[in-house]
Amino acid sequence: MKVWPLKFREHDHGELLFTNEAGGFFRSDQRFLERYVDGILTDDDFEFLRRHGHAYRDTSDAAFDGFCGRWARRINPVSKLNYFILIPTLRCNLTCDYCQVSRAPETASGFDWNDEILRQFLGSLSKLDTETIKIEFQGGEPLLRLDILEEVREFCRNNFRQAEFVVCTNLQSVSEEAWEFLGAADTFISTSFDGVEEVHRSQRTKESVVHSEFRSNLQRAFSEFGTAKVSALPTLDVHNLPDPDTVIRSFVELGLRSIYLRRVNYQGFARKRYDFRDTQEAWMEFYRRFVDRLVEHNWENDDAVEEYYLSHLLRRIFRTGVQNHVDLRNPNWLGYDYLVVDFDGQYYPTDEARMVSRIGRLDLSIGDVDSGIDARKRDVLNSAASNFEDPDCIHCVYQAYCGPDVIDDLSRYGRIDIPRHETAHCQHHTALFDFAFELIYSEDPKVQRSLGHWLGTPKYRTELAARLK
Amino acid sequence: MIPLRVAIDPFPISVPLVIRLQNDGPSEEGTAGVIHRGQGFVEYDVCGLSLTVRTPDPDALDGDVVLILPGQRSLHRLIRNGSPHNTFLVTEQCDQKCVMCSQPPKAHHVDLFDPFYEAALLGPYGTTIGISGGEPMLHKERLFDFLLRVQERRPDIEFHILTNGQHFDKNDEPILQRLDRARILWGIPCYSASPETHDDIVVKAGAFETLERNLALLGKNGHRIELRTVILNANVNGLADLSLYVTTHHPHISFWAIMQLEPIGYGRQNWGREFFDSSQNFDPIAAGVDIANIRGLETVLYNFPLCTVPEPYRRFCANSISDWKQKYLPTCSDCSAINRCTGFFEWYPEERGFSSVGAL
Amino acid sequence: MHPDDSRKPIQVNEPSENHNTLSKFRLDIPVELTAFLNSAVARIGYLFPTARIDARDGYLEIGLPENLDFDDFRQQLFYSIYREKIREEGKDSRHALNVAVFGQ
Repeated sequence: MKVWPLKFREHDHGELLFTNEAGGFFRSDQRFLERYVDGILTDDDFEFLRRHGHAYRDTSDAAFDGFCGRWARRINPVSKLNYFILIPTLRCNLTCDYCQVSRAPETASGFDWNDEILRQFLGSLSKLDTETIKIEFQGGEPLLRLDILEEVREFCRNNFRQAEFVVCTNLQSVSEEAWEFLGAADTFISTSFDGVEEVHRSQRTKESVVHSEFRSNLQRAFSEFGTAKVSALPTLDVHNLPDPDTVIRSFVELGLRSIYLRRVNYQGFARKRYDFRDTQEAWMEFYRRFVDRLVEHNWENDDAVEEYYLSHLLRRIFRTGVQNHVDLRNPNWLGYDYLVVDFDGQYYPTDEARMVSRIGRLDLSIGDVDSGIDARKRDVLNSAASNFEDPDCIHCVYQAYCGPDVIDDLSRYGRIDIPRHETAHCQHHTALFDFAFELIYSEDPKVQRSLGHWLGTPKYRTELAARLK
Repeated sequence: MIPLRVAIDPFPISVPLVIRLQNDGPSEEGTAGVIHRGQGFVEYDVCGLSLTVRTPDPDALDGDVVLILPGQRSLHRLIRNGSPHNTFLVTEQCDQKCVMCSQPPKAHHVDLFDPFYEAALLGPYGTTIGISGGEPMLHKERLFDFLLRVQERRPDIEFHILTNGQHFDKNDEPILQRLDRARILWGIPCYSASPETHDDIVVKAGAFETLERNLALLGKNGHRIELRTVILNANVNGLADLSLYVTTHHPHISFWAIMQLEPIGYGRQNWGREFFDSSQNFDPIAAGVDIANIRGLETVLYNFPLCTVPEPYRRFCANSISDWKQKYLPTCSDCSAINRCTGFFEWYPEERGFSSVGAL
Repeated sequence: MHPDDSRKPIQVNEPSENHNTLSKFRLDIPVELTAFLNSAVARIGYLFPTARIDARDGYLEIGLPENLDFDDFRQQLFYSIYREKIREEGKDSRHALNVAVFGQ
């Protein structure tokens, strides 16, 4: 019997977490580690390991094929370009605190797509080798250029078998024409709602008249279209964190069951002022407290609520082939299946790449609507797209579930060869995965009830939290 | 219950005939139009010959593709227009004797692949054809040939092929690569993660080992598999283990169908010993479903009346019993969920069935 | 790598000014693990740049600054050796995996 190489990490109460490269995991102790390293595993050890997909007799064993299949399904394949994030205008009618770089004043000129860019963009769409397309309109405030949105949507409806549109709007000022546009069955609304009225107001709307406009538009969006069409994301300032219960209550009142906690992504000068290292601990403390309150909420109520990213990590731990969140995949191919098109027609691999480029620190554009993709530059970015051979990641128990973030590394450190454990991305994800595994091995029935909800099944099963005695 | 065979008057043919019955329109090649409607019968024009079909409801046959065998006094409705449950029974031979088999094997075999091929060509656009038996793969050269020929002429047709998975081998890989994998779903039973239990249930020594190897072979060749598990007293307590096993060692499996016992054939003979009353104790099934869900394997409960399943698991139940053998009980008439419910098999023995059944 | 290579002294860090303030420890390494010592020591030196590790004949001479606890450090060092051993011994399986998935 051969054992697939196991990686390990100390967890609570002297236990060790073991994982293999296909994402299988179990907990055991130091004695097992020593038996394993010394090559003196018992028959019971082997039986456990084969049963749970960590060992195989030979390459004709189904356990071998099973491992290969699980491993292969965790690889994010390069897929066809079928998703665009468009910035038809950089202008915005709000001045949110943390949005210095991705907006221009409402009355400014030269920050919108011109006719030429629109024509070139639509031209590039007609060359795509895909039957389905998804377009996300961002900004700035995209509703300021409803005319462009109309034209893009009409073109896609006529040229693709299936087309879906998301308008990322602040819902600040919505004309009747805009409401009509948003009402179409193929069009979805994504808005920002910071979860607590005072926080939202202090960070975004500022004045009470402005805030009540937003508030009434938010109500109208939900009552008219429902949660199937409208989502709301909070952005939280780690120096001004809200009360978790209030956030949960506000979202539940809107009928929302999924809350994606995102912290303000500071850029440029603000990033130096709010250094990641100083705030990570406070953020994780808040995050854990928030999830604790969610667990409590789900114990008391039938309508369960999730924190989106935690559920995503749990799914990536238990399942293979979970590639639906572009921020965490391995390899995280840049500039292939989705592209950001800026107000000036430049292509960027991600929205963060666009912002980093805007502050002039690095130019991460990878072409434009006129000349197409700059394949050479894209190749350079993708040279570090995977964690497979990363000298730090190969030793990490969480490698199979994780994925690199080249853009974040570049934006923070200007380089990609920083030791992983010193990067924000690694520190943050290590803390999140530690937390996820604490939950997975929790014996608290309240936690287990929430895990069932978050993993889409009536009851969580501890058989999946295996322990080798 | 919908009849799959309909009486006809003697019809002079020497080879099997496949035609599509049509209420109106001129008869073209492969179709037969109505020429006369009488009391309890209908006459079709089959290339100038008159075919008399004894039915009170000729409209139900409109658009059906039927098979008439020489000397037989009935026609077989191979593809019923608008039904999602059309199956070609390609043989009654089988090398297993599963304790729940609804169609116990017979030694004799009649090769009908040619009429099946003609029938497939006449089927409606995008239809799904079930291939069943017996064990269809006992005649795998003919089966592969049939599939390849149909996919060349009718690439829109999908196949759901029920096989015990015992008869693939490495030499089949070139053909497996040529078959349209997007339009074939192999339905393959596995009853337990314990080789002994599985072999006992299918009454064939070594079956599990062969099955395990062939599931991997199909997976490696990119084929889609629906794993099928009938619940029995013999395997129900191993369902959680089976769920772990499947999601660990067979990650390429697309769906898992967990099925209640059908009381016919061996299933009827062994009902007393093997029927597991899941209305009394759903826990072992719930465990299997939960583990599969958490691991991301889409799981469907077949042949479970909704009232026998705890509320949180009802969303996994499919309305699965084929229309032609489905019935509802008197108590069902008051049930608010009857439209979503699979109901009961025509031959369900109420007095020896679920102890807890009732309108929701 | 030849097991004998691990006997050669490995200088992880340039001697620093506070060299004298390091606490010295001796750590015996079981002979069956010495083959993996070089890469493990290289990695530990990278993870703990303020520590000083010299490989001697069958043992390591370790210098730790005040903020590093010897027991913790020893644990991490052994973990590192284990990881290198596991990775080395997993080469055949990893190769078989690549052949099975990518056909090479």
